[in-house]
Amino acid sequence: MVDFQLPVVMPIVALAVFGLYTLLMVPLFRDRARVLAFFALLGIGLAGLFTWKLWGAWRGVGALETAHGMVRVDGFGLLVSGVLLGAGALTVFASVRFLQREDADFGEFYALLPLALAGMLTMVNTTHLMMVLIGLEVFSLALYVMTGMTRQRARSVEGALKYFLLGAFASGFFVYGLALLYGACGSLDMRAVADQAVRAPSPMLWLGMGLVLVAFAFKIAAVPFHHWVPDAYMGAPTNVTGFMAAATKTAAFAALLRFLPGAFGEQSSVWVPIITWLAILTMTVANLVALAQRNIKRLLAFSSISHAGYLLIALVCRPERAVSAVLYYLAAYAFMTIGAFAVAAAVGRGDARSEEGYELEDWGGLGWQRPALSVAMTVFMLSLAGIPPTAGFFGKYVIFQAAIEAERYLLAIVGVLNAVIGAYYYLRVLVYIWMREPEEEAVPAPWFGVTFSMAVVLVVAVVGTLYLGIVPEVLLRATRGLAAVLL
Amino acid sequence: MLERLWLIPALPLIGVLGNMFFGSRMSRRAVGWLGCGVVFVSFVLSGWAVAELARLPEEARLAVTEVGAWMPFATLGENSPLDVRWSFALDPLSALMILVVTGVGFLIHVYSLGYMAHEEGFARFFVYLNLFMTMMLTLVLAGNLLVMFVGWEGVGLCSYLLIGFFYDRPFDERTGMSCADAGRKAFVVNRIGDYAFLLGMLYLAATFGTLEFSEIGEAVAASGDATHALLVGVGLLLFFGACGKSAQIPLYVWLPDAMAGPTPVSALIHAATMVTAGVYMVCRMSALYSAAPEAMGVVATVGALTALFAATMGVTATDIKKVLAYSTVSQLGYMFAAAGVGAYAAAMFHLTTHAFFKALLFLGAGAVIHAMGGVQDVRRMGALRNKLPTTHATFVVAALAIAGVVPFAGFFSKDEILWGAWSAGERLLWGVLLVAAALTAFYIFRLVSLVFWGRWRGSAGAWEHAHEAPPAMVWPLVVLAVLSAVGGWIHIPEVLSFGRDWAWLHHWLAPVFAGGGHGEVAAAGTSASAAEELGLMALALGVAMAGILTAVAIYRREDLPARLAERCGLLYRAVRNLYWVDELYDAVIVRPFYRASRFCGAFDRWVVDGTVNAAGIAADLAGQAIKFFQTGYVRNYALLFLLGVVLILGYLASL
Repeated sequence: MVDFQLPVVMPIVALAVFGLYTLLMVPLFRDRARVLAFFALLGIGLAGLFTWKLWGAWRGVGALETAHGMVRVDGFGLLVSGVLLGAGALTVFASVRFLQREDADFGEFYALLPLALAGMLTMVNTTHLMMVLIGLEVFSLALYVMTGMTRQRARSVEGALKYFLLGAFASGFFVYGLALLYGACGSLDMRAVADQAVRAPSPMLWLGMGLVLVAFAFKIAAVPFHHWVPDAYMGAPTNVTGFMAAATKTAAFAALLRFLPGAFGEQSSVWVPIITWLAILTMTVANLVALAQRNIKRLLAFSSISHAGYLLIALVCRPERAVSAVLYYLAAYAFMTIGAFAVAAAVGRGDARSEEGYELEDWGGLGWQRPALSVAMTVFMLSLAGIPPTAGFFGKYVIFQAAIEAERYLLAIVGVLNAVIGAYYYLRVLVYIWMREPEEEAVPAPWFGVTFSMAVVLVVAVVGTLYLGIVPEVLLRATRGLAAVLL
Repeated sequence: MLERLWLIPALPLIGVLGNMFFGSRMSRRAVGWLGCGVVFVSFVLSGWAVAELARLPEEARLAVTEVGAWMPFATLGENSPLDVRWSFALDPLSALMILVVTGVGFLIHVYSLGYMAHEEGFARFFVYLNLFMTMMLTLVLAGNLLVMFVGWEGVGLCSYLLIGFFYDRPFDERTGMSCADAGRKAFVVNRIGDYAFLLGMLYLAATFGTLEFSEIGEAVAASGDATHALLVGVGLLLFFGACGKSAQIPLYVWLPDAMAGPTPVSALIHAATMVTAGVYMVCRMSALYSAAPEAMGVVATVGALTALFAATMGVTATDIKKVLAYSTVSQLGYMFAAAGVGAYAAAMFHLTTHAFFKALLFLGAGAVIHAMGGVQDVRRMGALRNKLPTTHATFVVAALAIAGVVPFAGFFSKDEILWGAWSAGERLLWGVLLVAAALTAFYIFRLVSLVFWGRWRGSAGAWEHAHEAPPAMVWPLVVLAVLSAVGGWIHIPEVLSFGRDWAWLHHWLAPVFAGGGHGEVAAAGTSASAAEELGLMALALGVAMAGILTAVAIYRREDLPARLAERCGLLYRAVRNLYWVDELYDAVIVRPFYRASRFCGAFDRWVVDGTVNAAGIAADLAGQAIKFFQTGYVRNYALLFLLGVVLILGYLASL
């Protein structure tokens, strides 16, 4: 009996088909990558449309399953898919003119992006760990290539190679963990794992869980599994960095939510200490090191790690709070971080061999030279620092509130202290932008100083950041009740 | 329109954004059109909404629009969610207010076109003015206290920005105050009141779990005696907030200095609309105040004292705008006195008529100042009726209205308040208000005499320069003059209406207030005789006429005022120096506060900053140290990775 319903997997299919189609078209549009970008956007848009239709359908029937339970579509996965697709679409806009300018206008990028998204959607729309692994590998491979895309730059290649080596290392742990879990449970479906964890927990089960956890910790860049991040983020073209930061984190956290509070929800006493210490270490180390950074991409890399730390706090709270808080935070983070990297991309200068303009000193006096970019960056930095009325503020607010409700006072206190440290280096960027004199007499840029496609990204990101911050309820309401459908 | 109430405050926001971003590139004409146009549309929408409201049956006249939730997850302690929503509500009370605010606001916007025509920062002025309209309408249309507080703070901000609009100009030679200082003073004094307001709001929320106006009434009614003390406390706290915003004792000191702002601002914000927000709030919370008679007693007493006290200061002021400022403080006192004896409808009635005639007085003063090339000292004016005939005519209408001469607007509303106080049995209060009424008539006609009548006392050059204002300024004067003349006819008391029922305003407002808002008299039925009411009315009118005639008689004579001032000696000097209240505040509050601040500053600089900086340096060093783990070698990364794995697995294995 064939159990397969095409409509359920249509978002993934659309992305894969358009990814492959774009790949085929690359030779035809060698010098006109804009057309390819349009194809990619079309694929993402279609996937978004299908996701939207499924969102309309799922509440009526509960979760939709197909392929013998390998694919499962529910509100949680769909909401995460939405965030991912949004991040993807913004990245396409941020890439078009940027890649031209960098002399890295490889059409393959627009094929890899939908393929990476297909992997991510696979990862979040399933409860089967094998599917999680497949999705993870699919998007990781695409990201390795995207990181090393500017292959004449030593940094880019270096970052890609490190990312690939350590990623392979982490995947090894993942697979090994799956083997142990399968041995302990006889199935890799998270529901079966959950069942087994309640009925007959065994050391093999715990070790399997630990190894899978390590792989996830690598993907979300928790300390001490984070070392690839600064190098990969530095090396990758800036548009890719933004996508990596927002989308990878989103996909991995979604899967982690299904895995820990979902499958091992009853055994929280086992993994809560691990997550607690990971969170504390991640926040503290990342924020402290970020203090010492002078390069904006590197600074944002450590910032990205620290945000993973805040997100980890949410995992150890009550599941319904955790789901709401994490989803809200991820959406907020997607807007502000893609926006911040887009600004960095617009300010930086680069060619095939090197890039510059990412040092803080280069940003001195930017405010009066390129006011539109600077205002946008101000919004993003304030949001990352967690200052109202931005989305970043409410993200932190809901997480810390959840922690206090769950009586995780230590985490709440460490989190707040780290937010203080964070504010320092985010605001320092603003000090450079608004209060320093420029290093040299720069060429006066036009008032907006950005291309049209970049303006789209900035406007969407700024509006999104502020909108979520002013009416957080819109998103929080959508996340209600999703904890029940994790498995 | 009732479903889209938010449009009314949102429209001026378009003007704000438009003029803020493109104002510097647009012509003055375009800036002015945009600034006035959005307010006019807002006025039309308000009229539309009120018309729709009026078509509803009387008991159903409440339209609530919810724009969305606001902080739905906020909690007040254990299991007590505080569900505050962005709600706008239109009922007869807010209906009256939005018509006044948008109507008078529009006229003053138009007037500003002429008044500000030659000033720098034309677009900036309209940005602030439109922002003020947005905030004021938010305040008025708010469906709960928190949204009202947003507007409350917003108008405070606009007031600050507009008082300091000419931030680089000096304002008061006596104290060496600049316009920016005056703005700051207004802001700080307001903050003191706002703090109390916020406290009152929090107590209310913590007790009843709601801030919605529609629910507070029921909650208060349902609560027993146990909460009585709390209600009194909340009432007093909110009233203290109102004292700040509406310039009552002891927080009135900012309003006279607020005259540093351009004159249209004084008319709009510091006479017609913002300063009446406190009165509006007290009326809005009538359910609470009616349940806390002690708080009402305080409201009435403070109001009446302010009415008297400020009126005396109006008598000696020599700056045309300051006379009007003290007059505003005094009239606001009247409104609070009315609200304090339960005559909420009378308070709102006076608020409305006052908006007309006080705006007119200020705009007239603006026309005079415009003609005089910026001179505001009445001692250097005189006989201006020859040069400014229209301004003179409208100014006199307004003066007659504020003095309470029949049939001008002020007569009806002031008489309503006096009658409310009398029939509530507050004879002493009534007496104080009557004396204040006499003083009001006196100082306003003193002003008219000094400015428009008598002999020219300025320089010859200034006389040549003096000219009637441009049409954009004259038309609003005329419209407001008509309103000041006939505005009182929206409520004619029974004894004057030949047995017909012309008390329209009371019928309109009746559903809003506990007990109908007529004060005690309505509750007591017709216990007071018509003869008594007519007699009191005649007495008030007589007192007003006496005040007017005395003023005219004294100020017709050149040397008499000075001799009288000399005769009164200490009293004159006390009043002239505003009873030294500013000096008192300076010595008792401001200076000690500065000293305390300096001490705290030193503590902060050495102890707190020292600790913080040490922590910062430590964090920085830690960051530098940890950075070295980031070697760049994959083998090191993998090693640290493995270390993490070993720790986690070791922990799991040890379970």
